[in-house]
Amino acid sequence: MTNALSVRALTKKFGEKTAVDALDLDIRAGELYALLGPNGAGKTTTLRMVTGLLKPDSGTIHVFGADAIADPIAAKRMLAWLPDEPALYDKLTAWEYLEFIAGLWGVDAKTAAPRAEELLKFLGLWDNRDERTEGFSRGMKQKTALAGALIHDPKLLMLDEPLTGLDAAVARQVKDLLQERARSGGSVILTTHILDVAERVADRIGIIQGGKLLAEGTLAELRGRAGGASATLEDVYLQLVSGAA
Amino acid sequence: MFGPGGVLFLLRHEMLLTWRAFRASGKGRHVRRIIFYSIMIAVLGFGGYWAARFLSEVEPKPSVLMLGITGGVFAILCSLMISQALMLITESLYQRGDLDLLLSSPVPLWRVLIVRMSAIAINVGLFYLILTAAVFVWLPSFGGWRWMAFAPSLLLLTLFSTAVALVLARLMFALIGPKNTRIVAQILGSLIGAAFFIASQIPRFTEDESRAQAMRDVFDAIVPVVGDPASIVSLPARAAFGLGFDIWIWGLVALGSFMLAVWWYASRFARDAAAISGLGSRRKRNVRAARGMRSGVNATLIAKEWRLLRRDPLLLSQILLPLLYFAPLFAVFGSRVGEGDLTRISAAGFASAFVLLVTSFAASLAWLTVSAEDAPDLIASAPVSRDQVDVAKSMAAAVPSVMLLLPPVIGAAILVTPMAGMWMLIGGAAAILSTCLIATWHQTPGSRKEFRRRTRGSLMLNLGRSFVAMGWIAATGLAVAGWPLAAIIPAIISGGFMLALHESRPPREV
Repeated sequence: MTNALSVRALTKKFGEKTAVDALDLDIRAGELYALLGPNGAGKTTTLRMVTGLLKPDSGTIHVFGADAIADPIAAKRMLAWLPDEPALYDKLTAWEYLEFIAGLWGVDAKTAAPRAEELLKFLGLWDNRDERTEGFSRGMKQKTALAGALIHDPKLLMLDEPLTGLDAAVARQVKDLLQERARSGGSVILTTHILDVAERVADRIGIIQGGKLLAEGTLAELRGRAGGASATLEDVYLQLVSGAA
Repeated sequence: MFGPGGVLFLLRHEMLLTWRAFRASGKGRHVRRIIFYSIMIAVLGFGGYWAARFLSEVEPKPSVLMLGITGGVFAILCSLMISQALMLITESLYQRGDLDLLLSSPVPLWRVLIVRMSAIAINVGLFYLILTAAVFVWLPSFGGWRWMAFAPSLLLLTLFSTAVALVLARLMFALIGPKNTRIVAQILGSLIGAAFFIASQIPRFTEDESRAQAMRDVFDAIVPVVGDPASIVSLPARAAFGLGFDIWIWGLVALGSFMLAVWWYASRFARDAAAISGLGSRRKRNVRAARGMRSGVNATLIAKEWRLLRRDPLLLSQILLPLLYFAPLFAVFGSRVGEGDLTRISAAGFASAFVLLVTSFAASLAWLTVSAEDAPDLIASAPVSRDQVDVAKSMAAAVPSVMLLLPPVIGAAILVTPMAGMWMLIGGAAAILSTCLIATWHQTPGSRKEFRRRTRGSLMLNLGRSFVAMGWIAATGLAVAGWPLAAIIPAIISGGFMLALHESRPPREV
């Protein structure tokens, strides 16, 4: 079965600093994968290269078999990217924002409108659809951006710190949505600092530091590496990260 | 006063921020800045030297005529300062920076305000004070001591103007709300600036005799009022001449008005600041039933750009207000056509001016649509090629520019000759197309809030851009004047610069 994302020997340097160092990564179709790592570990840089926002120095990226470097448009068609700071237009309403995203991804208006309605209703933004996003709270902005990421029904959804700054209720809503997405066959990759989130929602977890993947596997597999079934993800993470430092 | 939280402590903080912002604005261009400031100092020093020399030979007699002229100049300066201060006052509330931090601290509100408004007064008066300083540094060496009272008088004028602006801002906040105040302040500022320019241009288009008569009439009407030595209106002018206690009275009036205005403004300041911070808050809107959506990349990109423009009246006013500077030209064009006095040469001049107008309009729009993208990562992550995005965004700028060009083209075709209309259309369209292409080749990414700084960038790029525009303007003028063959030369020059700009475009990162 084709992987949702397949990254081989991916490398990116910023001047002398190697942000991503010959990284190999595979995300399976229908999987929710959490990428953990300390600040500056290379998580966001990796995802930005997959999305086509950064050009890798070397290595290959395949999204559902499509070469994301040779044919970025084909790869982007299957992708959605949600950065940690929602990229919204203050003067557009939530509905107009979704219309814009649907247009960019070439979704037919007849398909996009009911999909937008469904997403806005699910995320509790339906009553706010004709309001400009400039007045939205952080959580509402994040949910609008999430609706934008899902409007074109991407096969691979990539989220960078999606729960930062969200209150418990909104965070729960987002987590439910991501799990639902994975259950229905979509692939999700998210970066997070919140270990609890990774522990609760991810099928597999990857730990990255210095641009290299230190370990990956299910929570049970990672616990095994840490030497105890009772070890928490925090124990595993700290052991791996401090060991590599 | 000097301790933590004191007026001078806050003033030092304010000045430090201003200085850092000033330094950051020219980061990486130190050599160019040093050259620029050296030239400016040399020019000012040279001009100031001759002005001081001339002034020193004139006895500062406070006659009705002299007081009238000085009062008139002060009135013009005062109106310019008020408009500038009004904009700065509203901006100081919008670009909050550390305002929330200061307002949540135990520092008394009046202290924060006094410092912030003093900084605004300094900002408003700085340009004029630099100009006058260039003269005053030379005055003592020529024995022109008696003119020195102009400096404090001008300084006090900045305080007085800031006070008037504060009162106006307070009234406008109460009457039309903080959001509209910002837009109105912007428009007023531009209108006042434009009014002087327009007024100064109108005599250029009138006959010598009527111009002289009009000047005499205006002069005769104003001088007796602002030059009356017994009138309060002439107080700033009398102070400038160093008459008796007038400088002290003027000082008391200016400083007193400033303090009073700050006090009055402070009574509402916290509420206005809170109102502005909540401007983005959601307004109750009529919720409409779910409606259809647009399809297609071009349609959605263009719709998005136009929506963003339409919903930002402040930005829209900044784009449209420069068109006011062409108002005298339109007026004269209309009167010449009405009198049947439109020669081929004057028609060519008008045609060139219209092309200049649409080029400048297209350049502003193209920067906004192409460079000032609020969500560049979103666009870059979409399955659309950069070229496709650039074409759609350029169209969003080009279409309104062509719409602006069409009425004068139709007017020229009907009132001059059909060929004149056609040449104008070709020249204008070429200028718009070139402007949009340059905007896509040499993008200067920035936030929409940085609209006024959109032309920053390399000197060579700006020169190239100007030469391309001038080429099309000249070509249009020559063609409309009846020399289409001669128009080929500037058109080729424009084409050459376009080629150079195309070849020098930076490589794309992704």
